[in-house]
Amino acid sequence: MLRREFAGLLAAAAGLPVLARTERSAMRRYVQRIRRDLELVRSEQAGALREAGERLAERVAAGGALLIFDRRGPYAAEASGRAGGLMAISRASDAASVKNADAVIIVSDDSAHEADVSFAQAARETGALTVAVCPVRDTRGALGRECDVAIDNYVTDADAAIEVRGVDAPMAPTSGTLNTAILWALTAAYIEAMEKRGKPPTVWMSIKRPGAAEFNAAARKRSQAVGY
Amino acid sequence: MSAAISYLDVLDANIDTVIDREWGNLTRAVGTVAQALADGRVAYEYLAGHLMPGEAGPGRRGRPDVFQTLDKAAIGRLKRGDVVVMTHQYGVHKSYIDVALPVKDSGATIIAVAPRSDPARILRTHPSGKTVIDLAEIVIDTHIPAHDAAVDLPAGGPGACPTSGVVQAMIHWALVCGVAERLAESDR
Repeated sequence: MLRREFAGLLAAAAGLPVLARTERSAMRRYVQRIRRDLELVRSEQAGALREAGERLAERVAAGGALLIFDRRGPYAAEASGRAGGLMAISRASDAASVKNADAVIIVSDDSAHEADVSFAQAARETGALTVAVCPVRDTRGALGRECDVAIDNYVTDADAAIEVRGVDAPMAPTSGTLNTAILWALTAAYIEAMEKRGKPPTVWMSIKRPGAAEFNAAARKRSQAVGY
Repeated sequence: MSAAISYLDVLDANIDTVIDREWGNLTRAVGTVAQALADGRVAYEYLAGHLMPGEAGPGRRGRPDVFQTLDKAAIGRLKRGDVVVMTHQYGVHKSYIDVALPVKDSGATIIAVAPRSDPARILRTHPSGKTVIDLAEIVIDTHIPAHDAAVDLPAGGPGACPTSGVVQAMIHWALVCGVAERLAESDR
């Protein structure tokens, strides 16, 4: 075992902070980057989050459906059928499934990806509201410009935030962490805007909690009846 | 204060707690995985739940080959000295414990990324009554809020907007960074 490794294990076992080496370690740099980007979301994207929440609520309160488009899939999985998540949100597989009254959240780690941009263009052409969560400052990409509201996830072009000496390529995307955080912050803004309209959205209770089956069955009926 | 900012504040406090209280366990986990790989063993990750299979699985951009994905076939190949990182919202789900038990029996080391204590009367649904916390050698506590809900709904209901996915993703990539760096150091 390396001496430094042994020192790290000793410090960990003693419940002590690991000093000097880990202060600039790749692990520390990654966590610091995430915290910095989340602080930027808080300080610079609050207005976009509020506007997006209001406009999503406006559409849903008027009878439109709330949709999520996620080319890779994890964000749609995170948003759907999830304890603490909305019952009335569904994945849009393609633009043909989007109607003009609908509101669609497009979550992307690459503003220039053709599938994301073409979906946004087509959805907007139908008259649907489009909200993007994406790298807004990436000048290569058009996704943010093609949507009605864009929320910056501060992802850098390569979405690989950390360089490690001795490792060929940068690693560790920030998009998953940031997109998920923004998705839930946006959900909070939407819930708030719906409650303001007297139409609180229906939320799943965790099946690990006592009474969840009964709660969710009743909530599901309500959600299907009211549409949110 | 808006609900969106309230969510981000709860998330920020959650991440603070993970960094303050779990850094030692993260460092231990990095050392354990790196040592296993240096010894020629295999490091696996069991990706369950909503976000993580897509976020951390093979093919993800910026993902070095630190962890292999643990599937049913791989469970049968596990040997003493291998390491399995198991990440879950609560660590109590029956199908999840059904994986954790044979992993434990194989002699592999389990690193759990899950809340250490039930946030609020979480049902243990496995007949053994076990959670992954009971089976793991190292626990990285995600310190999620009660019911994994950061936002209270004024109209009542179960609470909304979980933090677990964000925290799990951050811990996953932090571990990957730490292990990759440790292996690169040992190569120099």
